[in-house]
Amino acid sequence: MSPVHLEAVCKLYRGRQQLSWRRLLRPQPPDPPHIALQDISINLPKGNVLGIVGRNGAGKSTLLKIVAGTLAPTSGLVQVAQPVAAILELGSGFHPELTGWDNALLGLALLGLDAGASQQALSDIADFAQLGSAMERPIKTYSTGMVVRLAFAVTTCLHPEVLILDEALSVGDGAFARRSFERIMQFRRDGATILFCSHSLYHIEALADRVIWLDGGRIVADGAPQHVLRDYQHFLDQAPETQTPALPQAGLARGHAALEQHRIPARLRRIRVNGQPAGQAVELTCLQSTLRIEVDFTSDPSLPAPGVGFIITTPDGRSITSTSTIADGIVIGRDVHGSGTVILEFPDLPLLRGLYVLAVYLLSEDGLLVYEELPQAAELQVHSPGPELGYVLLPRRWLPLGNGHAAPDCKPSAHRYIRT
Amino acid sequence: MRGVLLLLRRLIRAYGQGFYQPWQLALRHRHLLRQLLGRDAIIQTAGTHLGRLWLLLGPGLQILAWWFVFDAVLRVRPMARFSFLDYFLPSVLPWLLVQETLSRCLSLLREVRSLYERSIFPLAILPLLPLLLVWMIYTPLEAAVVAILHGPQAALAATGFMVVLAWLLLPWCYIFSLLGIFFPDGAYGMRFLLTLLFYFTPILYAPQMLPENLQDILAWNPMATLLQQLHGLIGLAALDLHHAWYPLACSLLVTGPAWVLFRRMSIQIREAL
Repeated sequence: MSPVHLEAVCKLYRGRQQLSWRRLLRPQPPDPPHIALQDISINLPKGNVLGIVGRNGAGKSTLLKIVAGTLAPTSGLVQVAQPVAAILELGSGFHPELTGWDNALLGLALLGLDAGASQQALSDIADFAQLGSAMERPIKTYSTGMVVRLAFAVTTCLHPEVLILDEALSVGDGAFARRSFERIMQFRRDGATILFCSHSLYHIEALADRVIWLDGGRIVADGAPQHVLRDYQHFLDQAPETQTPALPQAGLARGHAALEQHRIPARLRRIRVNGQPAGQAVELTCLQSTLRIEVDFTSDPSLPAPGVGFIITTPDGRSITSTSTIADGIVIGRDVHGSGTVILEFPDLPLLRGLYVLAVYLLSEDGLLVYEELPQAAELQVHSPGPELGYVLLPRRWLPLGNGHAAPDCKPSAHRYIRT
Repeated sequence: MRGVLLLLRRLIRAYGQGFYQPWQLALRHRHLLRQLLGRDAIIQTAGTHLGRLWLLLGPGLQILAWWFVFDAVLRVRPMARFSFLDYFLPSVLPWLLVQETLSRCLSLLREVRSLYERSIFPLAILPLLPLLLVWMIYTPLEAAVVAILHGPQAALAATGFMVVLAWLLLPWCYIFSLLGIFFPDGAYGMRFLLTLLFYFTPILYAPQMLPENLQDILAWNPMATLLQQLHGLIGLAALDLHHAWYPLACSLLVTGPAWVLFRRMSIQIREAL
């Protein structure tokens, strides 16, 4: 039997029907029911990774909750192998007045561990969460990151047959994000069946064996990641709502001291775009300017060298192009302290007129984990002298015309746009 | 006829399940229950200097206030042969078990929603939580008080009484928990009814102190009948088991439906919040 088997699962949220005096005195029709899931059938073989995509309200979380067992379907069959570990909301059962130990013990009891097994698991949890003497304190004294570390360590202390992740491929920050991600990847290597939903299509394509696209509680597409995600991306591009990249919050140049203090695997130190510091607008001319991005970073020298990625988007979040050192097979050189610099140039920038946003990412060596990001490293104000519409100029060739004169190849180079 | 038989069979099964399944569940999840009881005790007394001692001091001060008003000031003497404390203390502790358990049940599922809302949790053990916590406080206290006032044999009887009382109270815990979630207005009404029930239970006075027409009301109060049995067991009054069927029936009648209803409503409980 496959570890996750769902057959014709439907979930209906009935309208609010709570009894109240007002309703008794003036009966009102109940609110109409909301169909969260409709006719969902999934058969997931052991060791498979299923990615779930869909807009907000598509039914992703409801589906994960039903598989996790925190919700029951209105109709249909659900068979899920045990044990299940579900990271739906980290630390949801924790109480601020209890110490780290007490909360961990309760969490383990919730996982079904008895007193003896709990004591054994506690030491693993303390090691993984690396909270030290803070485990003796009530968690109301913890930072959010510490609570997340403890909750993740408790939830994943058992080897699950089925792992369910709701937008939580990695948690915490710095070194812990890397370790939590590695633990999830270890579950994957050990043959756990994984279901996860994410808005990061990049992660889904990189990790999932199969992708389901949900919309309005129905499966719109189910299949290989590249096919489903292509259709989903096309659907998102047509959608009226837009996504605006977040403004940069974090300052740069924290250097080695920050790495030491927070045990962060890698950190951006300085970004310059055409010689200007990050966060500023840069004026460029289509096919005449060169876009030069310099990224300085520091990293833990004991870890593999990180990767650096760039995405150029429109202000409403549509990706125009992206690249990374990992995709291009570039291995970054670093000094003995782990510092390094990456310079990327786009000569004769082929972007057409408009406003664009440059985002810079510092990634793990495999590109799956984002160490640090600067979503708005620069605003690119591109001017173009010609009347062309769109985002980019493509290399092109005109076919021979009627009078027999063949037009030369038109590479999108600067001189083609200097009109005399 | 066949339909009636089917219904009867289902009813019998429901009652059977209601009798043993909550306790079976408690046994299966005993480690989790132990953790939850500890958690509850810490949370209730969080931020205080005396900590868990307040679980005893709180009702202790309440009892002290009643003693002061009714004994020291008003000189109430429920029974000629016994002092106020001889009568009042063994009677008030079982009442506090009932009142605190049911009051807590009314708000329990909302209070601990973080435990089960987004994680896998055996919801049906939750109504046991206030019952066990309060029972663990008041049963040794009752035994100690009765042992001091009426001797060790009476203490043994009083302990047995507290065990039976907890058993009878369990189905009402499930009903009150559901009320708190699905009928919060009614939950406030139930708190008022519990207060009313306190004054119509012979704790601060003996039944014979009431006017005769009001004494009939006590016959409809299962808690009054139960206390009458307790008074008989510990030697405050003659033991009269003729009326014991009434509180038993009040509890046993709802045992099956309460358990089945709570189990069936488990999904709605998660969604109601």
